[in-house]
Amino acid sequence: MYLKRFSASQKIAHFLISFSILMLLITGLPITFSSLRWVINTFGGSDNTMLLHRFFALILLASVVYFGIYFILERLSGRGERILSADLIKNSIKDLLWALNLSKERPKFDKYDWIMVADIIGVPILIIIIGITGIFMWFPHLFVANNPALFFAFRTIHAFFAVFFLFFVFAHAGILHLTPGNFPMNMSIFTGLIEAKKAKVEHPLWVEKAEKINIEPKPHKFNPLGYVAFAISFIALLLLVYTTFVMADEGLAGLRVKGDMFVSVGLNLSMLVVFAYLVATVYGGLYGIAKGRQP
Amino acid sequence: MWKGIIALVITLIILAPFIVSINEVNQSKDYITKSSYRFVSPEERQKMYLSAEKFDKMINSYAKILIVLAAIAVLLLSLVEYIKFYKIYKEERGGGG
Repeated sequence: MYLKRFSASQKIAHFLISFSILMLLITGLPITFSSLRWVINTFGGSDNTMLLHRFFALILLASVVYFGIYFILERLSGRGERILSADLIKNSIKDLLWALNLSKERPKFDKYDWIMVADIIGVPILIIIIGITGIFMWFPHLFVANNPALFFAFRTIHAFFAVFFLFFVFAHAGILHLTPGNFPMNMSIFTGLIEAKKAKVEHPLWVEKAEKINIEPKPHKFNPLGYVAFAISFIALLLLVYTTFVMADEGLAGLRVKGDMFVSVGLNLSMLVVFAYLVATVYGGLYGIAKGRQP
Repeated sequence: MWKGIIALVITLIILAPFIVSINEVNQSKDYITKSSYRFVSPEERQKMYLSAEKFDKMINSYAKILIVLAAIAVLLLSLVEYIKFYKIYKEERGGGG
């Protein structure tokens, strides 16, 4: 049996936001890191890459504004979901302790556990900061005409949050898709459904309230390739952590890193992983549409 | 339905200026900025640029610490969450690995 986990609006919002964020990382990071120049060349030069960057920035802003207003209106009309709970922080600590075998029982979560709540609240905040600094750079004659040197300060903030977003993508995708029980892909956000058996363990407080759908799920078997996929993602993450040390060492001015081999390998590997996530997002979107059309 | 229409109208109003200027790199068509030497004295400009540099350096000083801390936090969190999902997976499969 399945349970209905996400509405059509939530699925569309997730698809548009994740696709545009991945495209913004692909077209944006090469501006900061010269070892990713090949990405700019792949898109046919700087003009095309920047046009794509602005285009996907618009898709992202449109998605955040549209769905932000939509979900607020839904909440005001009494149909929205309650995301925050009073014991969220307490439960997050208990959950981490349970993972590390320092607590015997895992706290019981409702529809969203603490890490999902952090995603739902954190992503719009990050997008707002990165969006505002991006708009300042897009329209310099409006925002920095009186002091053009401020452009570089906004660029630093924009690039800082872009690198942070890259870490976020690695954490989000690594945790929700490459872990045992989820690999190769957690399809919940694309189909809107979750196996009842899985939900009973992960979201026990929500199961009784959820709408049931009588379709028998295929038995899930963990593919050992999941270990390889997580290892690749983890190595890229490790090299990215090293990259931040190099960036900090250089004063972070413009976020340009010197010709360090580990930095170069880390950035290029990360870019390939981001490309893979982009393909997976498109596949998930198409799979969700195909499943949604089935009776 | 009404919620979707309201959200769409507000989104289009907010995004209209960006859609119009998506392919423009110098929207003002003004090649001499307000901070040009024609309007601002060299002394004033120096003061302005130094204040911006101070601001940039202040951002850098915080950003370089924050980015390293955030990176380490994400790395550790990924590891802990991997262990957590492994335990959850075993529970879902009734104790099997």
